[in-house]
Amino acid sequence: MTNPSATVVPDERVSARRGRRAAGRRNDGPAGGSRTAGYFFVALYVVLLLALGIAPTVYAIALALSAPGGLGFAHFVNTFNLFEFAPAFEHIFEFEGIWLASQTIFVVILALIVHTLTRRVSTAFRFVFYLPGAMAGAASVVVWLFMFDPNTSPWAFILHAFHYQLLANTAAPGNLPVLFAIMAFFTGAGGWIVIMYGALNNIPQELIEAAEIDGSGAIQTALKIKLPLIRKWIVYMLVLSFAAGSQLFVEPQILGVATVGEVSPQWSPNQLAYNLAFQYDRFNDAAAISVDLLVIGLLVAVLLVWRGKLFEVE
Amino acid sequence: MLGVAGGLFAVEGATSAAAKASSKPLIVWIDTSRVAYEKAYMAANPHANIKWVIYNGNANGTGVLQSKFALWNRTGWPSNAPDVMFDTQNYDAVQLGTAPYNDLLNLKSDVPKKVLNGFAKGSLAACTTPSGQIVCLRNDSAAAVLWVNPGLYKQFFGTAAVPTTWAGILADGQALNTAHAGYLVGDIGDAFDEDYYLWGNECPLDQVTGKGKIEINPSSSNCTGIANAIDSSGDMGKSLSQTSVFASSFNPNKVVMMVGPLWYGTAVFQTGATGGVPTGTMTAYPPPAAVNGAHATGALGGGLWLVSKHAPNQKAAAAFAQFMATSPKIQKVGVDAGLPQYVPDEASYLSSLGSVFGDPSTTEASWKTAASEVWTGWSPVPWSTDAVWGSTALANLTANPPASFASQLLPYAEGLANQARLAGFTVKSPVSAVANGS
Repeated sequence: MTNPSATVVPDERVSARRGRRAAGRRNDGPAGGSRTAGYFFVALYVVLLLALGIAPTVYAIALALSAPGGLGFAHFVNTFNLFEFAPAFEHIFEFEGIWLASQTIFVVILALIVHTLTRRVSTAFRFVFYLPGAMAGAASVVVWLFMFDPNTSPWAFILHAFHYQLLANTAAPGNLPVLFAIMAFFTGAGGWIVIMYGALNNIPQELIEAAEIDGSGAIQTALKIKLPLIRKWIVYMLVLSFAAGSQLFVEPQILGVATVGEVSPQWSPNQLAYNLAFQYDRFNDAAAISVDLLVIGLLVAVLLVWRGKLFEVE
Repeated sequence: MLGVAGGLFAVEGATSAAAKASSKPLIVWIDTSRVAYEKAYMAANPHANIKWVIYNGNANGTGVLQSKFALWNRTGWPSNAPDVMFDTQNYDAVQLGTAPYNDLLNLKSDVPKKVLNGFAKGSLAACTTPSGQIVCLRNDSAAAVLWVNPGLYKQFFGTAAVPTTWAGILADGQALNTAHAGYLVGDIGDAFDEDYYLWGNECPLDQVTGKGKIEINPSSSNCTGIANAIDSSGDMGKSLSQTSVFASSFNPNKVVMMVGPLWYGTAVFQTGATGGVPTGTMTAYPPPAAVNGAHATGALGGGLWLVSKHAPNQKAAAAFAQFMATSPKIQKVGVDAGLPQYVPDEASYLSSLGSVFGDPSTTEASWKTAASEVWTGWSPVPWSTDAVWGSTALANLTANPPASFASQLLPYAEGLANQARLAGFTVKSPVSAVANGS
């Protein structure tokens, strides 16, 4: 959806444009041999994209729109009227709000701080930040189960401070968005810090030196020079994270099994779709919810790309 | 008895003949607790051509069978689909045996009538579809009894008789709260506790009244009666444990008494195991009378044997399921943790319990009583009543201090009603929030 090469920092883009202009029309691409190789590799990807990305999406849309008398929105209306529908979306919006806000703030601040450290120290920090992200998905949920259970957690004293004595207390319905946000934060933040650090490294050294000569302090440089230059990366992070977060499934599903049902099997929209399809054989209704999620993800992406001027070339 | 033995040999013969006739093995799915069955079966039939596959027993709300069946009904049944399945969820059989699934074999034609009649009264309720098909065989009873540690009971209550009512249990709990804090008369910390407190008190929250119709009435005095009794005792969080009975921090040696299914005897009190109670400690007493005076109890678990309609050799598959559910080679102590529901097996099962539990004759009689007292007004439905209790009431009852039990009835009933509507049921209730949705 997003092409990272479109978000290179201005300086690079300028030189690339200059290079292209210099090359002129006679030689507007690489040599023939490597062009064939390029098509070959892209073709491989296109085949996979069609088979595993586009086809299932088209199938879901077709399932969702097939109503008794032809095409229609019956399945969208059906699912919208389910009692579990609104709470499921409230749950993920609450989760996304907490997660995206904390992830954006901490990732940006930590990346800016790490960028001011000497290379050796910052490498160590980036590695440490990245470590929790190496344990993703189901494995991380299982580890977090132990962390959240006051009987097994190494941080039990923190849980006790909240008067939590049992896993059932920690996993109380009101806490769930926060718990999932914590899990998602530690899984994803490290990787994004590494990416933001890469973006910060792309800022030309002359620019920062010029700012320093003009009397800009470290904080001022960070806020006024570096932050605007990595803004597009932040938008990029939000677009991808929002889409991933709206499809929350593994975390509530496993926590639900571990607590014998304290997390409703229809907690998130994705779970609701799964439950409809595989507990009640209502594939069309499940597809309608999947399409809802797709539309929401696309809308948010379009909004962020447009407001964040992600593809704009100044 | 002779007839049973004859049938038994015929079954074993049929299975091995079927196995020899075709190279395709019978595919049997069991959960980890049923591995003992596999060993017992293979010891009895060493040459049987069976492929044993371990799965989660379709554990609470995971819907493994539902998801696979739904997909296979769309794409065609693969050759490695299971022929016979052990299922730990009582609601599964009727759901998978009726539309839109219709995937289970009607055992009426393949299992002799005499054998079907040998199952305890009412025990095949979860196996009977609205149209009268028998789509599973019941493995064991999981009726709730009152488990008592007579040693502790004598220490705290002297020669007083063991309680026979919920009020009696809760009153003993009050005595322990102050005089012997830490000792328990029950549990409030698990997602399945409503199976004892509500089901066991004939609280009508799960009563299917016809195809696609359910009645849910949290305002019934059967529900409020037990809820108010629990609240006014003040036992929750004290002598009613907020810690799950399966948590590592749960100490079975602190249990003076506890209402729970038959299999708690070995599984929860861990009789004879490290950290558990010594062999011969726990004695089962009859389940307490409901607050309305009825002799009723709830149940949790117990298993079902399902046979796939898509099995290539339906006769052999049905014969296998019959063998597992009825043979004394399987339905015996050390293999099956619950009381067999096939009545001809019960006597030898109970008599061989021997020294596992204290007072064998009381335990035997109580198990039989409980198995016949399970209230049939709590119907098998295609959603988990435990999961709804877990997501509505559990967090509030395990909070410190706990919320009142009575305040959980309405949200629980609303949760059940929403699940029922999701499954396409029509909900009838005198409480408008339950009938019309919140």
